[in-house]
Amino acid sequence: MDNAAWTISSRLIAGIVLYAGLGWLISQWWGNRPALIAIGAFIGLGLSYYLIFTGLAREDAVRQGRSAQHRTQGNVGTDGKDQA
Amino acid sequence: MFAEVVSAGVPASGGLDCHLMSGCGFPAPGAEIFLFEDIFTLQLASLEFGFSKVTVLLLLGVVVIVGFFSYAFRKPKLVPRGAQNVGEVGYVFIRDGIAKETIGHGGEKFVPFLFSFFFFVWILNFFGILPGAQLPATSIFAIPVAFALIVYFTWVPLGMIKQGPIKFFTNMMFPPGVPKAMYVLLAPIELISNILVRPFTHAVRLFANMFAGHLLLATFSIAAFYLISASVIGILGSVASFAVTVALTGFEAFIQALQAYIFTLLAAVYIGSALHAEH
Repeated sequence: MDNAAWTISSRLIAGIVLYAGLGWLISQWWGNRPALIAIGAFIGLGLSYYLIFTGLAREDAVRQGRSAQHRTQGNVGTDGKDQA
Repeated sequence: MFAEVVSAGVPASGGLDCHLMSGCGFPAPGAEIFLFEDIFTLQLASLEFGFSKVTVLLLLGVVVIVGFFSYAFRKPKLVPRGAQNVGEVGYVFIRDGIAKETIGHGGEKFVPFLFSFFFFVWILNFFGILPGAQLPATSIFAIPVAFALIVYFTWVPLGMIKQGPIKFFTNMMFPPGVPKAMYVLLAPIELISNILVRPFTHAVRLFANMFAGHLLLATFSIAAFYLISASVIGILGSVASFAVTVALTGFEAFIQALQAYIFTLLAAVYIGSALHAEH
């Protein structure tokens, strides 16, 4: 279930569009300050990256945990020692 | 002179009367090469169904898929030969390569769904380089949108049934391993990316690839024809454009299979995310 890689594009789009939109709304409210749209887009980009990296790191941890488990189980099978 | 002889054998379409020496500019193909007139219409009560080239290709795709696989598995043998062999390779590829690999536990149930999608999308893409058809039906945006919506209305209700109607959305919005305070900022992104952006990118990914590929092939084949003339630039340019068209046709054959695979793989990823929430 390596789906963190496949969510990269949709997370990037969602983050940038959402926070750029929020920036646009605030700029409308405060009286036309378009710089807020750019700031919003950068904040969204940063948050998307944060989500992407934590998602990938979590899946990597799960995968390494699984392969480590396989290795120890293999050793137990050949050595005949009791399991932890 | 040379140009006239060559053009006699080529059906005139898309401004093919233009040539390098005839004064008019390069007739670059635009979005109009994706618009088709109805070939015939079908009147059922007050409903009118128009059949254009795209509709005919869709129906042809259905006939080819159903025809091939019912022929392949008409008398299944334990040791497969010929068409049955091809069919079984395709089935095992979808089952082991996509369903079991991506969905994991509970993936076998979705093999027929993914199998139909993979081969149907592939044949519709393949029409792009099939002489006579030469239009990938998936380059008409409505068709990938319809496919993406079928997948969308499969995995969203499935997730709501498997994880519970509220839990499905909260599992989606609050990924584990993130500081609690960050959820205020991240949960809306996760919700929008899963519920709104996913079906959109799913459809656009297939559509844009096939649209761009078809446009490239059209541009270079028109260029090969446009440049034919009794001049050095004309001959060199025409030969180069023709060579690029041939190379691009091969490249498209690869892209068509790849995009059908990616579309199916994404459908499997979405279904997998509905079946098993992240813990």
